[in-house]
Amino acid sequence: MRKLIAATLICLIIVTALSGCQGKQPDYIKIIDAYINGFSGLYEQGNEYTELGLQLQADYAYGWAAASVSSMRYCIDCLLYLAGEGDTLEDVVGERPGNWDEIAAMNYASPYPYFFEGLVYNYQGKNEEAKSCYEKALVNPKFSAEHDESLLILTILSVSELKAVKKKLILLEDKIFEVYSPVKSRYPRSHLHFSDKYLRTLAKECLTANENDYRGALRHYKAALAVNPFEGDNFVGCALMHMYLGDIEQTFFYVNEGLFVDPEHEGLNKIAELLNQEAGQ
Amino acid sequence: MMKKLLMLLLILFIIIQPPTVFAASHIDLSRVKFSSGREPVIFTFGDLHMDGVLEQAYPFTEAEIDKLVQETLKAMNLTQLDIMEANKKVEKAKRASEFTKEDLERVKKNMLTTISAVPAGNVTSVLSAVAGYMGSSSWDDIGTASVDLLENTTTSWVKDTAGGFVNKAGELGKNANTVNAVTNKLLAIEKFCEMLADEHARTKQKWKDIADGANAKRMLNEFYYALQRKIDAYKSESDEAGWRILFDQTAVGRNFTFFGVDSNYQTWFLDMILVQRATDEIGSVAGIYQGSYHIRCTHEMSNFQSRAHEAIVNMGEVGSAIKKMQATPGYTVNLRTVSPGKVEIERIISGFGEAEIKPNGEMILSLQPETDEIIVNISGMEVEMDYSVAGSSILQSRGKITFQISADQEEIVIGGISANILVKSPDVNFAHEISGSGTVKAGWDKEIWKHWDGTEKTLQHAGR
Repeated sequence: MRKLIAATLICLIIVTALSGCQGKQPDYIKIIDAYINGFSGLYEQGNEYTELGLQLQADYAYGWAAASVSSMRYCIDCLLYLAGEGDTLEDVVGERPGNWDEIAAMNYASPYPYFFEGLVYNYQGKNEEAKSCYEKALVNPKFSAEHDESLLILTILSVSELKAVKKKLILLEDKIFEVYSPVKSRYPRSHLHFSDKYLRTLAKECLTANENDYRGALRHYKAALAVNPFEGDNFVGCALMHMYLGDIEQTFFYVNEGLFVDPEHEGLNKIAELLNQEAGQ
Repeated sequence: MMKKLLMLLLILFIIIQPPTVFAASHIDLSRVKFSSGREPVIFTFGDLHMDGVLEQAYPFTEAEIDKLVQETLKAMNLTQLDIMEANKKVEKAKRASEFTKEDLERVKKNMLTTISAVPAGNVTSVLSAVAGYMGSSSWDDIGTASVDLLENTTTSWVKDTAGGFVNKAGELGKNANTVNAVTNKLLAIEKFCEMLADEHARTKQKWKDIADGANAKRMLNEFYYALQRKIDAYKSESDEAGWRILFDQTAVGRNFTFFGVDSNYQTWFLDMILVQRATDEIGSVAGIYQGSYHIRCTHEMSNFQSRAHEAIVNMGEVGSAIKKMQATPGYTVNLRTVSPGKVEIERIISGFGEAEIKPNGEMILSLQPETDEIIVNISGMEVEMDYSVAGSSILQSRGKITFQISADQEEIVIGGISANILVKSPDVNFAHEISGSGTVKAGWDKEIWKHWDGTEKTLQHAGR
């Protein structure tokens, strides 16, 4: 009888201990979950923009979410590979995006591709490369040094923890790519390309160098619009370049789309007025 | 006028651009074109003219489109105010159906002339436009924006923080306190992550404006889609129905003289609808038109009635006899109307009509009457005549005769004559009263129908 009671007690202790372990998630995993939720919020915002018919803004939100989620997932793939998982990095990555430039190009506004790239270098002990990447992430005001440094926690995760996080990221990544197909960007990656103001300046510099280089300037304005589709000036740039290229349909498109998101923009309203006058409206 | 005529002749669909503002002032009808839909025509018989129209059976005019707009608004439970508000939120630049290269050049030129603040320095036109229409960046940004940002990348804060990250990553694996230091900030980090999406939605008001604009755009798209469907259906119906010549209770009148009495009034009313039966392949007004017409002619005869004593002298043999008496020396004849009676004269003509409008605008009309009925009802008119023969002491004669005038067709009848005759002479003293019911036919005054009977009936465009 004593033996039976003792066995029962031991079983209870084991069960209790096991259930306790299962329910308690380390805080550093909660941090990662918080980021995944944050990126998921951007995806949902993309859905909201889509529903409202704001495709440029939807692509911006999806792209931001995708660049962030994919860079985190690719970072984990790299860590897993460095921890001995898979024969090659490609084995671990599979068919998913596995190139920092390609991932970053989904939306240069996101600082996370530079950060996670730095983290991989850091893990490998390539401190100079890591520092350079961190610096590039830090230049972007969307990056919060205070909060985002917590993501360094990825470097201490066990392989099983990394795999668990990857599963969550893949779920979100799949959801995003179900509604969003990133267009392969020919615009080069640069740590300053998060700034639409900077990109507009490049466009102006392009025109200053050659006043007829509308296509060159348009390339910069489109890049500016991709990282900030809420600023009327970016729409003005695209509309004007299309006008000088003789593409009036696109001119109307950018004027109208710009006025959706920046209805009070003086320049856009003036252009609209001039177009309407000439169209005999 | 000539221009208008040419338009009618050649056209077919006289297309005019819609104005921006009309009854449905907040509706963008830039894609919709209207036909004139209506041209004046004149029907002539004798010296009389009647105004009618040559119109599209379903005219594709602004007024018609306005009706469709109202119907669409009602069906979608919207008002023009809703459209106005939606327009404010969304599309400011309307899409031009045709925008030529020349238009584009003018816009570019106008853009430069309307820039209030032309940037200083030797700038080219495209750069002027860029600077003039952008709000946030000034010309001075050139070359400095990148410098500012590059400076940021090299600030000691950036360098130190990045270096700190490298070191912290190394420590995390070795020092539990470092991990705790990070995880202690969990709440703040969770808050930060929650704000990621909000940050991209910008301020709440900005997001609301965008969402309102997008919703308005969706509503407008639905509205214009529904309106376009209605317009397409109507236009198809309009094209199929073609044109028609229409006179709807059109009236013309004239003063006329009847049996010598003037100032009677004759009114002609015309209802005629001739529908285009055949046209050319481009749906022009040219072609054959067929249909029916109905004419009613009425008369106001109060002058004739009140001056019957003037009329009677123009009525056949009786009138001739009275005139003869009046003309005979020694006779005194006095006529007066004692009863105006009742006079109704009406004519109703109806039949089949056909018109051909030639491509040069000439119109050929042919009317084939099927019925032509004249209703005459004259009764109760009485004229009294006193006469006397004076100037002879041997023979004296005087008397009074009453004439009754009537008609139930185009033939005046004078009848019911009664007379008192007195003959005096030295030898004879004779007085006698004669009465009788005999009648005399006095004919009809054909002047009443002079514009219709035997005249040519024509149709022509009012501008010709």
